[in-house]
Amino acid sequence: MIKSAEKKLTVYTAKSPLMEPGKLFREMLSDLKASAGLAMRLTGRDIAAQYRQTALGYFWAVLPPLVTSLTFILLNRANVIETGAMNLPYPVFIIAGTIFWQLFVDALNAPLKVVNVNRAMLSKISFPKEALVLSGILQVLFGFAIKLVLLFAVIAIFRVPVQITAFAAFLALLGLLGIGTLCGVFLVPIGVLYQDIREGLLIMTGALMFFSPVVYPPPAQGFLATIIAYNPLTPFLMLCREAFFDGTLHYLPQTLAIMGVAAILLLAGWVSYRVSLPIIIERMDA
Amino acid sequence: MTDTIVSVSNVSKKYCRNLKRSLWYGVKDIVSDMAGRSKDQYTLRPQEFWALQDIAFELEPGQSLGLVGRNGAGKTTLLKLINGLIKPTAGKISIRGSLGALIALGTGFNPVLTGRENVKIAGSVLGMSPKQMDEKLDEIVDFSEIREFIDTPVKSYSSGMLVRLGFSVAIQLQPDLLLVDEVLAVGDLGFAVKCMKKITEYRNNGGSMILVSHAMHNIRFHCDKALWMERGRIVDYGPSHAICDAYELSTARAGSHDGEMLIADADFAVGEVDYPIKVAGNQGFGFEIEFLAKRAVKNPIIVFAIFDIKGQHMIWNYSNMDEFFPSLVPGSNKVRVSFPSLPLANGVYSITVVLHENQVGNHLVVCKNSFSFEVTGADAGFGLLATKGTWSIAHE
Repeated sequence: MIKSAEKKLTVYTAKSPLMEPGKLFREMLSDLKASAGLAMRLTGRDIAAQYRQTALGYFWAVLPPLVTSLTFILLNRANVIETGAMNLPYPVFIIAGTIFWQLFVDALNAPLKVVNVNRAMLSKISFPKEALVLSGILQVLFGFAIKLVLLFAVIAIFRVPVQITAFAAFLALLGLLGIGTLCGVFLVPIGVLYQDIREGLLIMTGALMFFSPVVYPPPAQGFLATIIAYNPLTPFLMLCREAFFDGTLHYLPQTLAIMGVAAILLLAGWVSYRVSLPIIIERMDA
Repeated sequence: MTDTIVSVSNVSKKYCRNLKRSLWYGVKDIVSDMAGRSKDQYTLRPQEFWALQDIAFELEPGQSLGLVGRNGAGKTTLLKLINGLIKPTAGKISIRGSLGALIALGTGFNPVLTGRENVKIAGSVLGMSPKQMDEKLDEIVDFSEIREFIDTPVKSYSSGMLVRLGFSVAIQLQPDLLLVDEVLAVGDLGFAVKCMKKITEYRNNGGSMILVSHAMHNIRFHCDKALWMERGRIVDYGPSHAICDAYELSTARAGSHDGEMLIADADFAVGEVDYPIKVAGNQGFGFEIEFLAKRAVKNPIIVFAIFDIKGQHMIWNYSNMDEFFPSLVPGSNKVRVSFPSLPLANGVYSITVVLHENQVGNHLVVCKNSFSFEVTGADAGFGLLATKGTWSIAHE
């Protein structure tokens, strides 16, 4: 029998956890460590559950970017979309663009989705809550891995050479994943309380795609050019494509700078997630 | 610091009645928490009420506490606070050691996945490592007694099977403090008895427990102390037998829907009253019930029933079948029922009293499974009944 003095003491009060930052960060780290195994299990559960009752299985992961791409390829053929001279075949350009973009969108939606799916568990069982966000990230990565197969298939079909700088694209992809998760985590408190956020998110991301260099290269001038230039996602999407196909890294410094800021914000997002969860859980089950 | 395993001091919790307002308060609370400003609150905002107010108790290692009270008394809220799922509005909860919970068994099970897959996930959620899980898996499956269905998707399971599986996983952990919320009542009888045995085993190994139950015999059997709550406040706190008796009497006092009839008092006519009430086996037995009536009841039919701890009817007597045709007058009516000999085997029993008017089914007061007592010294073999036989032998 362990002596009672050596056992872990847990204290709950009404005080804000931020009043004891040292304790808060120690708990955050120990919970993160405890989350890893659970996150893997939850990811396995959700992926198995999602695809087990489908006939098409993992094909559903590639269907959304495929449909978007085909739509724009048709529009491009019909000359509805003017892309100007490009050094890439348009199908490769757009499939790469939508797959990179989808990584951001999936990461953005994942935290809120995974918290909502596990409402019952959150309101009844005590477990390290970081596992949910980690599991969300793992599920996004799983979907992305399947989509990469599609991308490489298209690259092979069109015989586009992949540059050695493609490794830098993974940095940009990590950035898209990180910024998506960061925004998603910040949306969890308000998004769980108000359904409006989930509805709005769908419309917002749809619109945001057209203000990002996803389905067309950024125009050189005009109103759209300004918006795209100030869009913090632009460097990531541009770096992905140029590193993959052009062998250049013009957007690398910008990307790194934004990632630095995002890393700090991600920590703030994590704190807000932890602090708000008990308050949200109280309002979760009727 | 004393060596209490759990210490709850002046804990209060407020909730909001209105959904929209509650969401808005949630946003405000998150903002004030993020600003690092929140502290104990003692005032209510519009439409808020105290779900818990000034709850305080301590539990030493190895002790168990029963929480009793009507629905909505705040028992589940208190468990959620101790489990760390929600934050107190004021006060402090300290827990020394690990905590486990037998609450909402089977939560997080995915219907499409098999029992085996769900067991692994559930174990992981409760903090078991994959290695521990592999070691315990067989034991869990064996305990649940559903080995033949373990590789079937759980959507084809009955609710009882889900609970079996959930309990089997949750009980594998050996926490210092176990929170149990009404799970003993679910599942079939055989399994419920098995669960109780497992919990007794856990307690014998020095485990502490907080048990929420409406079944007083469970509280009496498993708990040293009990806390009686009503509307978020402590009504009484003390040894479980005394608290259970007081609580039972108060539920009996609750009386009829229209308030025209109530059971004011009820007692064993056994002379000296000591808790738990002990009745000698195979002896005469009497019980007195005081009905307070606001109007006359011309044709009352009174039911007096005794159940054993598993819920089996031991006796179920109707006053009219015993050829007793009283009438109740406005005011106090003391009814006494006695039995020359009650051949019950040793064990714990509870009493149910029902008052019908004119015909069975038209009940005015139902006082179910209240008034527990223990039969001791019934000198007989096994069986539900303990009655002396007279033996003889004849030789041709």
